Amino acid sequence: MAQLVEPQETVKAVRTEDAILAAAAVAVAGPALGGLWLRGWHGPRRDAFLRLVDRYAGALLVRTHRIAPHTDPEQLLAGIELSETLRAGRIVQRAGLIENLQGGLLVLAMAERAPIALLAPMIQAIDAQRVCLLAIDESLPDALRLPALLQDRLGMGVDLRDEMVLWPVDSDLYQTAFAQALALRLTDAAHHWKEVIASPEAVKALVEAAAQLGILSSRASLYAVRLAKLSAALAGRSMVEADDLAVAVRLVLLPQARQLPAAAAHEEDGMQSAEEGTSEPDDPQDAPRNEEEPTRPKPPLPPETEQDSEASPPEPAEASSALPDGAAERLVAAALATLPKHLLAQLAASSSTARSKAAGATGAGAQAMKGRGRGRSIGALPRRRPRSGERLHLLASIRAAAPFQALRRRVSGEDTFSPNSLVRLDADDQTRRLLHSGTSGKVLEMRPDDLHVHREKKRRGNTTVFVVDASGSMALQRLSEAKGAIEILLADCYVRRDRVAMIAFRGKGAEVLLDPTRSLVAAKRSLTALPGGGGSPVAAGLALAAQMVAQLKRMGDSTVVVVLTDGRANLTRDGLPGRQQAALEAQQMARFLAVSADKRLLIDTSMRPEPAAQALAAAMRGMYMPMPFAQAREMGQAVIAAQLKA
Amino acid sequence: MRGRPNFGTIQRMNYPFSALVGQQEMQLGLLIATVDPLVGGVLILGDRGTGKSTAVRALAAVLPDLEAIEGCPYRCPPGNTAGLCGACGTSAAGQKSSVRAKKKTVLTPVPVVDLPLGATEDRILGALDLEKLMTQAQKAFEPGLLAKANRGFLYIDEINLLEDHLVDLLIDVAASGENRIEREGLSVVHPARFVLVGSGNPEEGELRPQLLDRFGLAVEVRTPKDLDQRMQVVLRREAFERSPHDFMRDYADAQSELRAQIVSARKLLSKVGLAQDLLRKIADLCMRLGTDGLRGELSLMRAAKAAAALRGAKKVSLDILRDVAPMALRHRLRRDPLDDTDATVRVQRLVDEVLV
Repeated sequence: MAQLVEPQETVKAVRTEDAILAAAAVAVAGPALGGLWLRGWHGPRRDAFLRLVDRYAGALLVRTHRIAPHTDPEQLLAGIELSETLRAGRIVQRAGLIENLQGGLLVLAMAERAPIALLAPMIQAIDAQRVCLLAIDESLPDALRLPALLQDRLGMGVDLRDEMVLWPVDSDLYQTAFAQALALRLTDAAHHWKEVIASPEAVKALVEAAAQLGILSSRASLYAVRLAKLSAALAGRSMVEADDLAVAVRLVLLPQARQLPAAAAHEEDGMQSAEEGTSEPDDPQDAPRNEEEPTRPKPPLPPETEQDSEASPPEPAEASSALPDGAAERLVAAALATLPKHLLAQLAASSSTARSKAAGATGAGAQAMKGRGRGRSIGALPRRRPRSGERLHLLASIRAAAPFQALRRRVSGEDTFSPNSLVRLDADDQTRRLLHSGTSGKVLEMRPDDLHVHREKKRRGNTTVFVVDASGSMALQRLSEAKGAIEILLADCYVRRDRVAMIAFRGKGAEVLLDPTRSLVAAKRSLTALPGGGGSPVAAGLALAAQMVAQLKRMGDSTVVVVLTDGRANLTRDGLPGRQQAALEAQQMARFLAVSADKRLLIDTSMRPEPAAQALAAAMRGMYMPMPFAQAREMGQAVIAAQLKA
Repeated sequence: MRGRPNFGTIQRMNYPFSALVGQQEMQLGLLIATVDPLVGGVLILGDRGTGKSTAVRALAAVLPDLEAIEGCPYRCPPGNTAGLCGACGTSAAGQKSSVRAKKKTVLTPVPVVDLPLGATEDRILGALDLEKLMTQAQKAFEPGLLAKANRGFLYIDEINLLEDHLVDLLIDVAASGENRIEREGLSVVHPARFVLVGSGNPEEGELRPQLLDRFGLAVEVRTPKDLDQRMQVVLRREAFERSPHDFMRDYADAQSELRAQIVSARKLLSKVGLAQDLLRKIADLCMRLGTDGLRGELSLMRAAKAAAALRGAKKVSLDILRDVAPMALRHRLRRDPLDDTDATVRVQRLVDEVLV
């Protein structure tokens, strides 16, 4: 499909206005749109955007609250206010943060780092349309991602990462003519946006656009329809028009896009032949069939349709016949034209590997979150003398003490006569004075026996990173044997519930085929899809592995790196030819891995043991294993044995 | 008028079950579980945003109310049956029926309880009642989510992302039908019989085999492939949100029809028969698929009977078997991690061969 290319100035204007509209939408109908996915690091533009959101929210008296990812999840929901309860001697309830917002806006900084325990209550609230979440995502391209289960629920996406196509850094967004115009209509839109009419044709165009962009969730289509209505309401219209659809595609659908429209048709062909029509869960077969047909001349969207389409859903057949052909396609193409080049390239890249990588990627976010559960409190442990480093579990301690309060008060009163208790009495008096200060005189009588500490879960996840040489020197035969070996190892990882990741290097460089995941389906698929041929940039592959290992270590995982190569490097990290330099760099990176990865294993894939591979194994101080001519299965077993010993 | 309309009050109604679009397998699976809870739980596998949660939450509205002893936190049924809670059990067993009759019964809606991913053990199992503890210095048990779900449904979205220690706890309770709490000086046992409904996307992580085994049925949901269906999803949802009351009125007949269907299916269930030759075919199918143990046969049999009852048939037919075989068996195939043929495809292939 021919891409329209908009001049940069137009793109800037469109993206800026979109951001402004998004800010207004959050204020006007935040909960109906789930939330806003704000990508970009701290900077003047992000501040300007957040200020604008505040202005709009303030104008509509929408409450906002900002929280950090380390916020205690209990704060979000209603509960018992402990300190007040103790002071007053009766239960004092505390309203939860979400409830307090009354359908307002929750701003979550560094959302990609938020643990699932914090996200879960938010997600429930979003589903019930009780809160709007503005999630600020500062993730790096290759690091932790915003968990898919959250991303899917955030209706709008604003991307501030490409500053070339945004407003000037020093401008006050609120002072722009567009923002001012919206400000005037906020209240009106808030009350009437739901009554805006979206014709079945309009709805159909959005649904189809979502399908073309490979979006599987029907939430996105719903959000898109709502945003189109809002956009119309903010423009003072009572009907959704083409402009509103366009902005809905840009703000709602593009951020969730998983493929370019052209890729949809391709994939469909490739997949059906490859998989004999097996139906995988994220099968993008729902891409419209008419993709391959040449685009017919498109009549513009009918500006007005008088039918009361919204009252009763029309028959499917009717709706489809009324659709102007290619409306969705045109919408998508126009929206794509406003994407900055590198984002477009990213999308194109993810289209080509959509089946292997996107799946792994979503899993990575989710799994990573789980991995970060390390050290999380999973209960209380009685401990008379808390050791250093242990956290006192206040709630559990008080619970333990509470039932005995009446008894203890009586006993400690009588106890004063016993000489044995004199020392303790002094101590008690101190505590009493401490607790007495300025309160009603009720004291909590604690004993060392009551003390509890947090029981923490210190499970370290295990991730195996496969680095596969797919260069030309790996004859096809050997490559498929190597694949076989990996499959055996995968099975083993499954049993131990390890995570696996996969990196391949060939041609000019290395790429991550699969982010760390526990999904075997994804791993198998990425392996099957791995093509061979080209140069042998060993260093690039090892460097990428080192980078991933570093990331995993930050998350507290232990790592096993399994390199499958013949060791004959002939390309440097920069993709330049030269055996000597390439070998040197490979050695360097191997030594780097030696200190970063916890366990290392090199499987020599050449016909007979290859000195270069042996040298590489030595440099990474890992185990060396020549791949025998035996069946992959047998070899896999040997590897497992070696791995467990290592 | 300043400010915007309050959102909090708008969405309190659940989308009607009968208005779901294009998720027949999921709907059938859930209905089977309502007709015969002994089928075991229902696992819903599939993409995000396909209406999994909507379907489960909509379920409560089509279920006939439960008869329960008034004031019992676990909604114990009247009568002297097994699996009553401590209080109801002793009064039922030790006394004459005349005494028992004093206990009033009430009708309560079937609970459909959400177990959020971030839930703590305390919240799931139940814990010391802080309020009673602090105000009356009384050690009392505050029932948790498991208690709330007794005789109803326990729904876990994204079940494959659930923390392992919570999974362990669920496996145990789901197997025994009762929740035993021995902590913080509490010693409580209460019935916790519920239909476990889990949903998740297998692409994002595998489910533990032990937990998989707890599910009687595994249904698949897809984003509808058909554009018109996808559009219907959006249009109906929009119509619902614009005027929920009107929308509910439009579907009131369909809803009560469905409720009647469930009620009569429950009555019919014990009378549904399964012919010998079909039984043999089931055994043959399971053997050829290599399902572990006998659970495959059992759940296929139960599911088929419930499905027949839903259709008002007194006999399981081949058609019905073919309908329910995939959902009863697809998660029971011995896991060969190297064989990435979709389990559904494998089951379907054999179903086509055997069930003719």
